[in-house]
Amino acid sequence: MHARDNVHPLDLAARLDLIDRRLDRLLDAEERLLDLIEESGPIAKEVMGVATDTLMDAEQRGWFAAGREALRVAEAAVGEPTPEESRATADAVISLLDTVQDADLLPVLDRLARTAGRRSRSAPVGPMGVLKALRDPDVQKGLGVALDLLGALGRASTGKRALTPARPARKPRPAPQPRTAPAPAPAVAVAAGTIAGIPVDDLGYLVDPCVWTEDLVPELAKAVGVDTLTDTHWTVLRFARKDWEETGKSPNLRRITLETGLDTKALYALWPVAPGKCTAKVAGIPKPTGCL
Amino acid sequence: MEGNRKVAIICSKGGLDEAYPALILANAARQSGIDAMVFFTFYGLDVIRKGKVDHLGVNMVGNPTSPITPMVAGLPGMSAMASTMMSKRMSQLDIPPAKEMLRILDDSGAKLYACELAMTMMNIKEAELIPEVDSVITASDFYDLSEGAQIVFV
Repeated sequence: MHARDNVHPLDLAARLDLIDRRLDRLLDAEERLLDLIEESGPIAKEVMGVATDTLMDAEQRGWFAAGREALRVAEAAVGEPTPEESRATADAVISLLDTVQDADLLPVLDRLARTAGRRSRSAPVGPMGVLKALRDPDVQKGLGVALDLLGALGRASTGKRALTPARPARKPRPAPQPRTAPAPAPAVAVAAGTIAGIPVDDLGYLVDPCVWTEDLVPELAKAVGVDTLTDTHWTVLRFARKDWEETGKSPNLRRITLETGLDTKALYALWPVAPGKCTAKVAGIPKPTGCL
Repeated sequence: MEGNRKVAIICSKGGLDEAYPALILANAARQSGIDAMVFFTFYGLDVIRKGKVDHLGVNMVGNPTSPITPMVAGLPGMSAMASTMMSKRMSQLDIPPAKEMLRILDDSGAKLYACELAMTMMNIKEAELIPEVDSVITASDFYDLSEGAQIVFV
């Protein structure tokens, strides 16, 4: 027996009133809901219509089929990846994209695709044609790129298995230093003697070319066996000295003949032997180098 | 000159790469005051023949260190190409052409001789030789002339 069995009639009335009020509220809510459904009916119909049309259009354009195939590809390629594998794949893709962008490959590949498409009807080329083509700087550049790619392929195939994060763009190689001739060894020739008081080395060349003056010439000429100096001597000596001062190199015989206009026979007549060397000795310049 | 150092060079080939060593060595000898003579024989005779001296060439087939394989180097036109390239390079470096080298050698006092046997074999007359050649001699003449000399075979 419930305790409520002995409820007071007034309490019962209050409760009924409460219930009544609650019911009213419920009915209001339901009514409002029904109104909403009624109003949104036409809108919903329209939305549904558009959606259906779009989906049908997509189907006709083959997107669904493509989507299904794409999913199939993804499944085949990716399989059932573990989180680590997915991450590795994503890293690889990011690295690849970075590399392609960094190396400016994207525009190159784009141009390549377009050019290759246009050239799909190239004429066949034989071995002589290959040799001729090799002269074309574009072909040479293409070969360079292809060889670089091959090198990268080789490195990749023998490199680490683990993927490295995108490498920073390779720094351009510093421009090769212009190869300058090594500075000539400072003249530390040991003075093997003197001529007219000026130190000379064991071959008879002045140890220090800078102390030479024209007054020394007769003495130096005597040392190589020439007592009288003719105008030809002076022409040659002056030219040789000037040339050394201007170019830093003692002129060889060929240069002397070309610049002074004197022929080889005349030069060989100036000195008993070795005209190039004697000229250098008497002009106070170093021994000429070279084969001519 | 008594007691002077002497060098006798035998030039037996006619290519640019084969004859020039002989010419340069002779010239350098003269520039150092060494007596020099060059004895031209067999294909070296082409170096002292009028007309031929202006058209010396080179081919890469006989060169084992050539970057071009002999199969390709022997194709028509390759020899001419190599010769042109070498001649161009030589004129860039201001190396005189063979004719001028021989004139310089002659002016500097080097002796130039032609081999009599080779001339007979190849049917060459003395009139075909350039004026700088001193005379046509035999092998035993060569030995007389080169007494005391260092002999170089190129």
